[in-house]
Amino acid sequence: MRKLNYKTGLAFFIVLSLAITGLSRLTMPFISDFYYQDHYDVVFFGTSESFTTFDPHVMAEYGISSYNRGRMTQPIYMTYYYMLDAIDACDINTIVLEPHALYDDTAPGMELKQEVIDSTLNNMRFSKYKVQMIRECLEKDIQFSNLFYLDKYHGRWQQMAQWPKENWGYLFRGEGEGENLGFQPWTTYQAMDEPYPSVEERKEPKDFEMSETGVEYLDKIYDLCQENNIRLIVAKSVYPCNDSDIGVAQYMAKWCADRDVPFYDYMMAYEALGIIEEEDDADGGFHLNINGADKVSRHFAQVLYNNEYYKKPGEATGEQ
Amino acid sequence: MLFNSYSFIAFFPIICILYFLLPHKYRKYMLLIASYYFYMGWNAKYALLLLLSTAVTFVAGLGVDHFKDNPSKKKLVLTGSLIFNLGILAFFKYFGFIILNINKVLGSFGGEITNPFSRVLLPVGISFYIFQALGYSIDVYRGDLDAEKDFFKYALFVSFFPQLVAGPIERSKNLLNQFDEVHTFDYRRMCDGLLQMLYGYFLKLVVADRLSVFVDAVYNSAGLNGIFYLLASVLFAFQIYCDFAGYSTIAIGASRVMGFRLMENFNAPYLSQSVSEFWRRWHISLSTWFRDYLYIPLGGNRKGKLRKWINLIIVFGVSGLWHGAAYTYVAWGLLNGIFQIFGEILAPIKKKADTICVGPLKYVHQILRTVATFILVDFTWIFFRATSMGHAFGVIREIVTNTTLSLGSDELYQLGLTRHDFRIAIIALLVMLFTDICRYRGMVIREKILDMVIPLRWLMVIISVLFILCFGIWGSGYAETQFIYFQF
Repeated sequence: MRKLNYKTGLAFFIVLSLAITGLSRLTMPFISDFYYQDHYDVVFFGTSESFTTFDPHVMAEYGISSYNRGRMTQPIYMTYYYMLDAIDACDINTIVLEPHALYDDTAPGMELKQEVIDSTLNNMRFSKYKVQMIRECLEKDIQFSNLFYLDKYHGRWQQMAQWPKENWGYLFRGEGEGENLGFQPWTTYQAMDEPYPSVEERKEPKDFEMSETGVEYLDKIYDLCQENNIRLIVAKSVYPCNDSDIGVAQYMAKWCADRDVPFYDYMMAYEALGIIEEEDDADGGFHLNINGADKVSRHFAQVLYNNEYYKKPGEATGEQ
Repeated sequence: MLFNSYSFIAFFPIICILYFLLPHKYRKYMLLIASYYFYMGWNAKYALLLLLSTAVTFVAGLGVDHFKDNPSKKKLVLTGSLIFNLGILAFFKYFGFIILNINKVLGSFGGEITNPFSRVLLPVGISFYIFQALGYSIDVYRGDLDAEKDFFKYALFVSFFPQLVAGPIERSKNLLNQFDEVHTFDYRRMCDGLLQMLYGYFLKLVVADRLSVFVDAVYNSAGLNGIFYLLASVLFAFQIYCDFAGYSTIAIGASRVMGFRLMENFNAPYLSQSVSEFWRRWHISLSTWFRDYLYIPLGGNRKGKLRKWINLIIVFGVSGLWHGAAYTYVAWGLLNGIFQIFGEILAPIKKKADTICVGPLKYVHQILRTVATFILVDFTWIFFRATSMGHAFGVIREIVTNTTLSLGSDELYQLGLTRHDFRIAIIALLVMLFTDICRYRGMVIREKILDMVIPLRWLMVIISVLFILCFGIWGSGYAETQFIYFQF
């Protein structure tokens, strides 16, 4: 009978764990290039409405370093953890929240589509905030599989086997490199079937009730920014412009006014921006395409630049 | 709880740690609770059935022991136990099948009866634990074993979690007394058990579940080129082997970690040179169960050749029925019986060929016999895999009449497995074949690995783990695939 040498056993499990971690890392699809910098003047958060609207390259033309961390259909409570992680990873002067997600009344722990979860988690480094997000936001029975990458991505060797040789570098530095600073330019044109309400109609009060989760996490986001001396700006994209979006915008206008948070509602300003639905609409009134994004981004860059909103609170001219 | 689930990966180490930490006298209680917890992972209510079957066979054992000097009463008690347990099996497994057949007859007269229990689910592993419990009753009846007086120990024998739902069907003589042994922790034994489990996971996750994708796609399609059915039928032979042997190997390995020795259930069956040899190497625990408790009581080979052949047909027909309530399983069993009878008829020719083939020819002859055996066995698997007799004959018809060798790779890769999947499957099958050849020749690879120097051993194990993790069919992208034999 051989007794267990505990040191040997422990060493084996450490080596095995490292090997499994290495394999997990190799098969994980994305490591965002967001983490490659330790400072951003402005970081955008929100859903696809954010990453198809605000282009960091346009911001750069105004000397503003920025990154778009918007992710597909990201619920507001996940956005909060995204912000926690981003603030922990680097120094940020200003956070811009695109509030489309607030129409959604799901709450942490409710069922989400796996592609929505993947879109958020795949782009996030492993951190305590990621673990918190998984524990707080996902259903119990899918938490482990979302924490343990290999569960989802071990079969990705099939895709990797088809990569051209030059892509093998991604194994070590992540596919995220060259991610376009989080901006995803859509080049399609698709006019909507039915036009949205006119600007005048958009001003009419809508019977919209913000979900408790939405209110809770908006306040958390506000507190987070206050605690970290980060400027918070809310900017609603042009699209979509359904009644629920109008309701969200109306709620946000009041919420922002109460807290002295700058609020830009591009739904109301689309005519002034020169948005032409037939040219700037990517998919029938849900997202702007690259033309529309350019128009909004230029306007917003000027707003940031002129008001020095890209600086920390208190550092802009006239602020104390 | 499936072996290939996170629950089991968490459950098993906890049970092992508890097992070695607890004083010996408490271990069986802990294992009993763990086994019932393991079983209740499927359907908690059916644990009552397990308990009921356990209680009846336990009491029957005591009754048989009590009446050991009164043959008629002893027989009565055993018969009662057999009727009760086989009745449970018949109700859950065959009731629907019986109603279906009655309706076929009544249908020709325009009548029909409905099955009031059509929604009753088949309890997982019922055929396994009932056979194990019945084996105990018969052993006690025959006087091969004293009746067990400790109910908890006996309940653990029936429900021991590693082999509860898909065997090996253990003999009371082998397992029951092992619960009295004081197992101390043994590092080498643990490593040996874990290596066995690792190989079991390899068979299940890398080979069986990968092949099942293709086999299912082909068997669920109609009108394909016959070569696909041929390929799927060949691959099914490996799928079912790796699935079932995978389960058994994990079960044996898991038991070994704790110090228990379960019987081997597979021994390189596809290297057999005759169908009868195949059955000495395939599902050994069931084959020997039928041999000891059915074939020999029927007279075995003691009453002449014709009676022996009839006995063979009965045993394999029952074996088919044990696997499932469908004519396809019966046909599968009967074909295996018939092939063995033909094997016996042709035995003189084979013997002559053995004497003629010497030198290198001997090996050629052995290989040819192995291939021929595989073809015969694989032919029977078509019935096993098909959903009905019509389906089975349809597959055979497609293979015979609709096979063209001009196979476009695009077609092949549209049936669930990619080119890469096939490559991995081929590599994995070669590993399996190599392991089986070593085993056939009496070499145990695990022992070679355990004797290696630490860096080499670690490298082997880590590469194996990574290979299974990377190339296995598991995780949230795939549904956890049940082991095929759970349904029996």
